[in-house]
Amino acid sequence: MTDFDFDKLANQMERDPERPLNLMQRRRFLQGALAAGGAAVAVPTMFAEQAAAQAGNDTIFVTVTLAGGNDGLNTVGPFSNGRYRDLRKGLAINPATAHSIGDNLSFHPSMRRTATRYRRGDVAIVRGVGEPLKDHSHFSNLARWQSANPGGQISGTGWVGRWLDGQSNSQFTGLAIGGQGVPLHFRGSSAPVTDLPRGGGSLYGSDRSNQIDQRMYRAIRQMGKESDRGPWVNRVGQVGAQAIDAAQAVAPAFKNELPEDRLIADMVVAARMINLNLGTRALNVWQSGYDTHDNQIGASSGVGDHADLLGELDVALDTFFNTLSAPMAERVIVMLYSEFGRRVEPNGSNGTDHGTANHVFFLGRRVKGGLYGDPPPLNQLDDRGDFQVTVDFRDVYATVVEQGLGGSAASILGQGYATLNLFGESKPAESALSRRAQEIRDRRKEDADDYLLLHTPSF
Amino acid sequence: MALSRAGAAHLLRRAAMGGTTAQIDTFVGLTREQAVNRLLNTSGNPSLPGWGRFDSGDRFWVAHEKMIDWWVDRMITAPPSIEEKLTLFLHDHFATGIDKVEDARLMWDQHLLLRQHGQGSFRVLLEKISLGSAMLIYLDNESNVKGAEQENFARELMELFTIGNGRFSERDVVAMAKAWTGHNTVGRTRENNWKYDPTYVFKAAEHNNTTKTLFGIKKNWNALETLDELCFGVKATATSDYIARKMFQFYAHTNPSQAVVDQLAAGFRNSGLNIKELLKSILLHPEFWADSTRYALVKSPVEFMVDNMRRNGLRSDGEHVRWRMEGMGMVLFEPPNVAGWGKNGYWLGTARTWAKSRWTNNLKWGADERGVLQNLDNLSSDQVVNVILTFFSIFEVSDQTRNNMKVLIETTREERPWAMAYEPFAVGMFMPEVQCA
Repeated sequence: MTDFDFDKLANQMERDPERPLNLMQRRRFLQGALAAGGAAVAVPTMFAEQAAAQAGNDTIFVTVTLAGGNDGLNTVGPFSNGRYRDLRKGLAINPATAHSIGDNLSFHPSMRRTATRYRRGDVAIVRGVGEPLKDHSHFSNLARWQSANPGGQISGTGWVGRWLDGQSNSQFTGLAIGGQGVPLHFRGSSAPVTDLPRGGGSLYGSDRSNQIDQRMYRAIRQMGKESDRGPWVNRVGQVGAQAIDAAQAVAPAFKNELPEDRLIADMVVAARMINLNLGTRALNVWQSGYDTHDNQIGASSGVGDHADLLGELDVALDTFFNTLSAPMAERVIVMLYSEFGRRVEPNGSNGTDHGTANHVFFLGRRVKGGLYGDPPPLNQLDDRGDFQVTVDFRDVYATVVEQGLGGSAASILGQGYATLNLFGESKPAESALSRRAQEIRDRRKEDADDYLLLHTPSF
Repeated sequence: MALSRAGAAHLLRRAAMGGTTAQIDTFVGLTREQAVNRLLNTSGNPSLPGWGRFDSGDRFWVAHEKMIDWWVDRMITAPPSIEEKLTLFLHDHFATGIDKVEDARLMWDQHLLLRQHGQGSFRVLLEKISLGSAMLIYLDNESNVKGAEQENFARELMELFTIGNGRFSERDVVAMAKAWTGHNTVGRTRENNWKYDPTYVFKAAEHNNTTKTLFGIKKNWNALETLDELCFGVKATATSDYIARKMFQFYAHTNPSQAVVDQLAAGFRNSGLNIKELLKSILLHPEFWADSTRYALVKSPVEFMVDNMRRNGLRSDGEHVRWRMEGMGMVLFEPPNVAGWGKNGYWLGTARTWAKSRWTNNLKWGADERGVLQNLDNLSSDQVVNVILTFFSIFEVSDQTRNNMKVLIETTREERPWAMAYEPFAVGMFMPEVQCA
């Protein structure tokens, strides 16, 4: 990812005046330049590397919540398949620009880096994941995916949160990135998840050098002591104390400049927090905007809202892995999921309405790369024209709990589920030379499919 | 029952955008009914600015910031009434975001609708908002046409604006989408040189003019008939239940019993879905006044900022309100999605707390210049605590909060007496009671 290219954006506006720039793009266009690109960030210190090497081997689990309902079919799909092309019509991806991964499947043109990662054997794609849909609501589907109870019951706790409840009660074991509060799947009954702001700014409580501040910190911390003041007064007090306690430890993650792009910045913060080696085992990052009812695709299948989102995601994932220290990179498993996929046939607005079954992706050196789950057949859609679910999302979670994080799926998910064989020991690290060679190969294509990674989240 | 200071403060925190202790005192001694009626019948500043005040050409984000500043200043300065809080509730209910609409004028037009119709019939407001350009764009009904229906608006109309999830089927979504076909914007036309025209228009040729089955009723549904059915027909109970519950949760507490909701919903239906009548019933409901309801909500960032800016004599100018609110998680005219903002736990997290404390900690430096806490020298520690609590209009306070403040004041006096003008103030903004409503 290169620095913000003013000329390129001006050129895009000239070529494609019909397609308005989004809010963020306009703002940046006026500001002139993006402060830092994705690649130029966060070199972990030697100290962190050494500490990490001694830190054990537990899996670190990162969820990237693709909010709004990602169109999995156009993320990885059979783009040459006649049936696919017939059904998808104007939204069909041009296979010539996509990144083939064999089995008649390709990654979206925007996902070159992730496709490369797949070819290295570091990406698993579980197809047909979901549950028999009760409705097509964003909010209840996301809540069901995050609650992960038998029968799709929505609860006040989520599956990662319930796993965190059984871990140490450090407030760094679970982290929510992006300044949007703690998502439901990270909420447990007792696990104190810390959520981190978007971008930097001073973190109140991080400066312990001043005696005067200590007095105020102490007073604020005292406000957090449990008492009979009513549940919300208590919670407010506790969170204030938690912020004071956590500030100093997390401040280093914000010390160096961050990329301006929100998702990339969030992924960099996630990687830096992992490198800090505070015992973090689970992190969530959000990417919003996948509710592509309109403008899903632009003049060609390499442009448009969905292409922008996936391109941003592709760079963010790459930046994340590049920011991780080597020993930590061996331990990380990233999961990409969404509340549902999208309808197979387009709507009338150059977009797609809410669908059902979707891909869930796993990335990391511990992932046994390849295809999992039966792909829902394109010629057996349900009466709404949606895919049939072939894999229960709780099977996928059970696999994460039992093979990845370590724990009893039955106690966390309320009952036992089938598991897939998704994870193993880290594969031997590739040599620096082969990695460099791959990077050079990747870069040559960069001009062709690199584009602006600017996006304002909203459904 | 005559209102105490604590009761009057509670009422202003909930029904209005808070108030200073001086404002609260003007409600002390009134009966609940008198106080509520006064809030219901006080109009804010009757004059609203024209669009020219915000117009920034194509730079909608500049206009957006001006609109935020204007609204925040209005919330601070308008006499206590229901208008600003109710407009905020309705903005959250009919959540529409400038990040997608990308036209500040359309957001302003919608804002005016919330004020013009927000205290009247829910059915009328629902129609005005649904056919307003901002909503047509935000939920894509602008391009919902016969033969290529799209469901975004149809679904959220039922799920979020009227009856709530679980009270309609997927078949209803299909039928509803068809009923709303052709209710579009003018869009791009040759006559207008292909420039986008967001004006609402009914394109008869794009309307699906067939029989559809909606809520089990077979007929050739058109958009406005569906609103009648939702508000007054077979879904009247569901809509009144959903709106009454949501409004009670916003104004009182988040766990009303079904009996309480049923009673409010029945009254709402009897009033012909009059929003102001429903609000009045909520504000006079015994549960609204219960001890357990006090501080049972967490202030949203807008409530927190407005109340504290007013207390400190601050206005939007120089406060970078948009930026502050973004850190705290609430940018007006830009809700996170069509479900709007959350409540209580939604506002709690370390990230939002840091953003909040960045602001409060900044405010402390001007506190002595603004003269917010003065002449403390000859007061006992207990008296200083009372001055601080009175400054923040906290008249019901836990022993724990009181004791913590007292300890802080005693140590500050001993170790650093000159900091008395701002340290207790800074920590005071952290009192949980100040952060709750």
